[in-house]
Amino acid sequence: MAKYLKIEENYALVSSELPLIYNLNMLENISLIKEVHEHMPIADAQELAMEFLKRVSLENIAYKRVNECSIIEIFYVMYIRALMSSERRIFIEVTHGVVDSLSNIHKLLESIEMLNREKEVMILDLQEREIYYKDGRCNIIRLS
Amino acid sequence: MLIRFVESVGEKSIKSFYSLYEVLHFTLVCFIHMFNPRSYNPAMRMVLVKQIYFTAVGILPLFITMAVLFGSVIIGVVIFVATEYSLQDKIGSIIITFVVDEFAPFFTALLISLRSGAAVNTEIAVMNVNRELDTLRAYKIDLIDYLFLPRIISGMISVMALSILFAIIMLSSGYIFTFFYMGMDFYTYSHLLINAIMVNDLLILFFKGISFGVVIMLIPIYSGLKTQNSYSNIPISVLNGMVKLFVYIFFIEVVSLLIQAV
Repeated sequence: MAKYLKIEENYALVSSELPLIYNLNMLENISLIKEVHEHMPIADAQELAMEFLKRVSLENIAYKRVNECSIIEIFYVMYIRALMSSERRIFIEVTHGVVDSLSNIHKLLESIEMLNREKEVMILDLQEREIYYKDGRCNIIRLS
Repeated sequence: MLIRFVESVGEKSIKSFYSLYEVLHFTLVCFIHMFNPRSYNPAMRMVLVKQIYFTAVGILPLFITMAVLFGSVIIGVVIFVATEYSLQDKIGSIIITFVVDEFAPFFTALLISLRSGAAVNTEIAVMNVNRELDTLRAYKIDLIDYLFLPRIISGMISVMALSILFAIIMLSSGYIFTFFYMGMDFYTYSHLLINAIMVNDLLILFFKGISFGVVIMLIPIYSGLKTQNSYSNIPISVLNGMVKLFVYIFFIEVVSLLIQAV
């Protein structure tokens, strides 16, 4: 996906093709980006990560590993991880199981907006699920 | 028939040389990163601390037990043989050469290879197959800085420290045998060793520890990186990595013996 779209240089990608690191917990997965790129001390980076998790009421999964979390929890952690990167744009590939109902997508879009007000976010989903996004908070662009 | 044989030998030789070139190139790149202060970010330092703990501290109970058992028995055998051949006056230098120069670093290398080498190979291979390495690349996290360098440095520190510890325990436990078998008091035994040990012995222990530490981590990492994208390839990767690792360990041992002989 990333290679096909040639987006890895300009976008932070949220995709099942870029999974979380299994031997790190959720907090470490998020804080890793700041620790490496900005040499932020571990305690500060984890505090920032925890702050983002709290915004979506996911502080309970902070010390859990990937196998202990649901698909939607993993999705949020991947999205927060993308927010930690310096890229101005985020590209989200919505995978099966993340969006399975109208109420689900509205909550998801609200959370995406609540977590981020600075970066440009693009969501890629199948055309057959377009109905879920109608009347939502985002513009729909059809790719032929 | 002959042409096919020559072709096959040639192809294998080219593959072997290319593989060796790749390993050397990978080693060089890792060493360049090792001397770059930018490589030492907080995440890398945390991985380094964890790796030292897993490699050197976690193994301590087993390691100390083996050092005590092997130490008393092997030094006992060495002293017994030396006495049989009327080499009592050379016992100090025989023990030091055997324990400090050869046995301690070699045995430590074997033990760490079996424990940490195999674990590192599996870990990198699993991360490769799970596409976790792609994640790190996509988020511009340098694999060498974050994953490889902490493991290589921890290998160097751990093997060197454990070799020294092994030598100290082995020499100490050897006293038990000399006390019961030869009736030697501690003062005589310690002076025997102190008079026999030379700077050369310490340098050999140091350089062998460093060399073994580098290959024990570097070869499994390289092997894990080369794993094809399937879970069924992970055991093959570990198998190949461990065989290569043991070849390199024996190679270092032989080179060290040759250098000492010259």
